[in-house]
Amino acid sequence: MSSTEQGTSSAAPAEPTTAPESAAAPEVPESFYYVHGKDKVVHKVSAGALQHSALIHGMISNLGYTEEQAKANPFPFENIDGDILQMVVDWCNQHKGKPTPPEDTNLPKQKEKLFDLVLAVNYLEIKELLTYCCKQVAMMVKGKSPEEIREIWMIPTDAEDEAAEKEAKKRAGKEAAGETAAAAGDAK
Amino acid sequence: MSNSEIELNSLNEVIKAIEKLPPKERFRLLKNFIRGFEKWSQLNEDCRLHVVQFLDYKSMCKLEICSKQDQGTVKDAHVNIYQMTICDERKIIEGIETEEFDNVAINFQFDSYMTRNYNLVFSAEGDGSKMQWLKFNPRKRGMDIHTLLIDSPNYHQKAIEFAENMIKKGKYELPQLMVDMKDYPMETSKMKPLPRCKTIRICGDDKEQLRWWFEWLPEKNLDIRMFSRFENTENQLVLSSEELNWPRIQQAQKFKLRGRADFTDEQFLNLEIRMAGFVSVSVSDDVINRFLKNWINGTGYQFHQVLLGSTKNRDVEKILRGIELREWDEDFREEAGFFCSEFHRFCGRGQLYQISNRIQPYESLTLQITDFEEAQLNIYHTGKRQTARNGEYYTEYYVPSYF
Repeated sequence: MSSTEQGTSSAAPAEPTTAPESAAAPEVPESFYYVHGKDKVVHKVSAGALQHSALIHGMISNLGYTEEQAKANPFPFENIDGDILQMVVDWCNQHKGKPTPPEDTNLPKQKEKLFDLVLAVNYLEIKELLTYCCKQVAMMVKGKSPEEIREIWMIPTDAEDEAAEKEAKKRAGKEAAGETAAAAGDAK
Repeated sequence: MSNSEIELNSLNEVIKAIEKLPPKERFRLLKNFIRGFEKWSQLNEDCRLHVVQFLDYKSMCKLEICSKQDQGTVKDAHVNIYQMTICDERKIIEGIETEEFDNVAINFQFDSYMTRNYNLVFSAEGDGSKMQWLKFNPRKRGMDIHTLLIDSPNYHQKAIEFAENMIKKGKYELPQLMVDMKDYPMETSKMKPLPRCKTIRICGDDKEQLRWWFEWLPEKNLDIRMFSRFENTENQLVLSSEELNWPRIQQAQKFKLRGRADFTDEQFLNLEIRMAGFVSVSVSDDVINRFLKNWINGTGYQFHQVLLGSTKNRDVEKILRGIELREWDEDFREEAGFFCSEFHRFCGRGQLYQISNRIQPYESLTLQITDFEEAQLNIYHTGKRQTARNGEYYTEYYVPSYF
């Protein structure tokens, strides 16, 4: 069903008049926060850019840090590699204050980093970037056969999975036995 | 020869060379280009589900058989189902049977922008049932009939199970539903509330079934169309004033009834449906006159269009008594020429009048008494007040949406 509602004016509207320019609002200085990943390299990011991350936005919204306090207390993200955090920060800066288009060409190009990026973005709750990354991963196997999907995503077969599980159990059993023996030796 | 030509030529040669490769080698090249995603199995379930939701249904089915873990992920993934039609009324299914046969046809669409509809036809086959569908065969340049035998004599039940299972896969977020079933198995149904449903088309005369379907829908802002299974007027669908009081109808945004609406006068004068259409209404000409006058005096509700069925036995003069009309004469056609021609294109012709609002003089209705088939009284809110940049008001005419 198509909407066909369209307007046609009966009388020509008068010539447009120049709208009075609104008085320039006093500029509020932008606040900055600091984040670091596994490599401890600190990145300075504006609050505007960090709004993309629901996790960080939630953390900072009630803090009211001064510049010094923010600098002294960088947010530690020990589970995120430094280069991945750098990618995320760059993306947030590029998209500061604007909605992301459905096809984002500013996404980091390194495909080998995509796995870590997806995990980081999911952890930091950056919805738009997560959507874009996941779309990229999904596109890799769209229309492929199960064999091709297995190869592209390196999916182990159930038999391989079971063998790996058995191997892991065996290893864990051996390690546990070793630890018990060591403990017994210590006790003697 | 320019540089770009050289590049294009070499690209052409590369493509030709790739095309000559065996499929395995070609796939290896593609994989190298994609570079793979070797840690898919290690990704947490949250992210895996997020990825899978961007796959089309076919790809999901293929992923499902890759491993137990993937089977679990796909099982929990949300499948977009945009539209579902369940119908046992179509006796001839083109391409499958040339003669009439009893069947239940399930039609669904994954996305609003996808032009492809999936059509599955369930019918009896010996002691069991079968499911059939058509698939284009590029070699034959025609359709192939695919058949799946089902080990159950109850094809009706199997069809419903299939449809409900697809709706379940879509996490009951179906936006459009169409049902044309004589006996929907309400007792064995596994239907659940459809909170995202916006559009419902129901063909049926069984009030209990109509009420049952309404229970699953959101209470407000629905687009409802109701049809009778019978075309003749003796058996037309009639909704009593009590049934017209059902909240889903009362609070609908659009409601079209291919039947008779037995409104009480009070009910009709208190209508709040923005777009309403009825084959006939039980109210008298005087009540329609009051309805129009209420709008003129600013006490009526803000509707887009109200289409009131046959005026065969109606007295148009009575309906228009005491109402100031502006005929669509040459002056009006000159003033709003584009609107008039567009209106004719979408709404047809007939006797046309403009009725202004006394409180908001820039607002007006278009009253149309059609001159084709059965005469019909259509009321559209077409003239709307707009403000020019210099602050002056003017009327802008809007062509009604198709309804």
